[in-house]
Amino acid sequence: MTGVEIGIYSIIAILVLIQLGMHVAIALMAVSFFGVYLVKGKMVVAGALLSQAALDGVERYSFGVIPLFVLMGVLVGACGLGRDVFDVAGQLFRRFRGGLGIATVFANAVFAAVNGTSIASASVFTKVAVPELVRQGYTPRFSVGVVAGSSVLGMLIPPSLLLILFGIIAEVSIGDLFTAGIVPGLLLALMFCVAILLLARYFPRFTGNPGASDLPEMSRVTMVLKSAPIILLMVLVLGGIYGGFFTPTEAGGVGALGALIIAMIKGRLTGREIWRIMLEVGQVTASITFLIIAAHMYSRLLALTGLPNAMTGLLARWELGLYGILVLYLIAIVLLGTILDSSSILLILLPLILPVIQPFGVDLVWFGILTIIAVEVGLLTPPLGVACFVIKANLDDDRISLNDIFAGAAPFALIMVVLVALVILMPWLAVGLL
Amino acid sequence: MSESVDIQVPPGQPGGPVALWLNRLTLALAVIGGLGTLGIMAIINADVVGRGVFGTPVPATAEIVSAAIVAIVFLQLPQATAAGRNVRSDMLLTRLSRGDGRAGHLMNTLHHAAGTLMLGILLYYIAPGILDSIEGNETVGLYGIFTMPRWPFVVCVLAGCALTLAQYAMLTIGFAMQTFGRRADA
Repeated sequence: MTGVEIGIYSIIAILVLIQLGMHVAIALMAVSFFGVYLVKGKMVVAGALLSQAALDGVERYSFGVIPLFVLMGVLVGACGLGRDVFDVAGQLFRRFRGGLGIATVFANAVFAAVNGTSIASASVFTKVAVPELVRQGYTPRFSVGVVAGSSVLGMLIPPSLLLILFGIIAEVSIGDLFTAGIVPGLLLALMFCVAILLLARYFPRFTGNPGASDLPEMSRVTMVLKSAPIILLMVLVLGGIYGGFFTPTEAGGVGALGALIIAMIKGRLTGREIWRIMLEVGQVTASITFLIIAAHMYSRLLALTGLPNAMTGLLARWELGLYGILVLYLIAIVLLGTILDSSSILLILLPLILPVIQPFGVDLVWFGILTIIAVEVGLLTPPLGVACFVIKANLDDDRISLNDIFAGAAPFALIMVVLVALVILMPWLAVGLL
Repeated sequence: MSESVDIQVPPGQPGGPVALWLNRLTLALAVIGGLGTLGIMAIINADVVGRGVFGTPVPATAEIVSAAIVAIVFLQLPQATAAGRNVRSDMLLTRLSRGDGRAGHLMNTLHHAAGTLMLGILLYYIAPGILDSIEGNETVGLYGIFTMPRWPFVVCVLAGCALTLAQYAMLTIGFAMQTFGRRADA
């Protein structure tokens, strides 16, 4: 068996093992270990690769902030900031048809600026927004769809864990990536809002027929008081990054401390709550980072098999040009997104594609934004739409099935595909602010 | 993707004193990891404030944080494993779990056995290097400015690795008992 063949079989083996339900990290580790053994014929070499990747794979400053971004997300959720911003947004948009849907998108966009994961957004807003939307007469399907769709804003609007991950793997400035995510993120939020207005007007069977908002009118003082903490946190995190006081990686640390102080002032931290938060942060951190370590092993195997080079040669012979390759790549991401979670896709696919596109001299920041949006489409598509699973897990309503969530999220996934096309056609959307 | 503990851990499985102490140790490591996370937060903030306000950054922040993250991950891995939080696709498992659920348990046994094997291999190859770095008094930090010994970090990696192995083994046994036991599914 040649190296390239081993490389190809390794991809198939991983996809099969993951489908069988093996832990993704274990599957990656096992395939890397036995793959290297097949290529090199020595157990010692394979073992050395495992132990090196485990020790050095994540030994970088940018990885050190992963638990802090997770901590910030969990704390911001625990403070009830999500509920507050949702209440205020509900007031702002009460006059619109579909107003509460728009408010959900708006609240998600604001929330995204103080936390770095879509999963945190999805779990918070499932609890806060879905019951309220259903109560006001939206269909359950549309209610969960709005939450699922708008939760992807969390990954696009800085700070964002996925952008950090991309920056690390592709060796691109994380600060540039954060800046580049702003316009596409806001544009996506805007497109969602317009879509909700149109859907509520022309497809009331899909959205349901909400009556006029029956929320009690909120005084301006209450609105200001409710939105003050999250705005302060936003100013602290984004102001600090763009004001040059700290780097985007350090923003996780500062943001986590800020969220901790707010939680303490609001008196939300009981002993039991601290215990829960600590375990939750630890579990999320460990599972994400273990995955990164395993993927690191796998990328070393891939490099060893020579598959990336062979692919570069093959694609060059097909003469697809940059756009042909891009379209293939984005389709591959969306397809992989149906069976893998976002970080696994980045970790498996990037070592393969980066050498291929390098000769074209494309802007890797632009390429990163495209990648993230495409990956996030996968969060919303069956069978393995992670955001949809999170929503299902956080939902106390048995009448809403997983299929309802996928169906409700479909229009939003489509809009994201449109956004990918827009960013391809108009790269300045992403790189204009740099 | 994040299935909860109650479904994953077989009932009545955390019996015996071995399991009890294993789980206590797991929690203890997770707590140390949690404190480490707070430590990273503190040092980064001290660095940012020190740099911005007083013009004196905390020395070797990046190096210490980099070394600490590896330790923190391995400290928290046993707990994440025990809680069934390692990322996986549960489509097939959910389907297999219908009926009497034995097929699902069998699949889980195999997956966790694979986990046990891989952690065993990792431990086998990672331990010698770690022991060397302890004996060699390796340090982290910036030479001449600020250094600290490397052993606390690598000991955490070693302990976490061993305990994750133990947790995987225990889960494997638990699932195997459910698969092959006579009336295990109470």
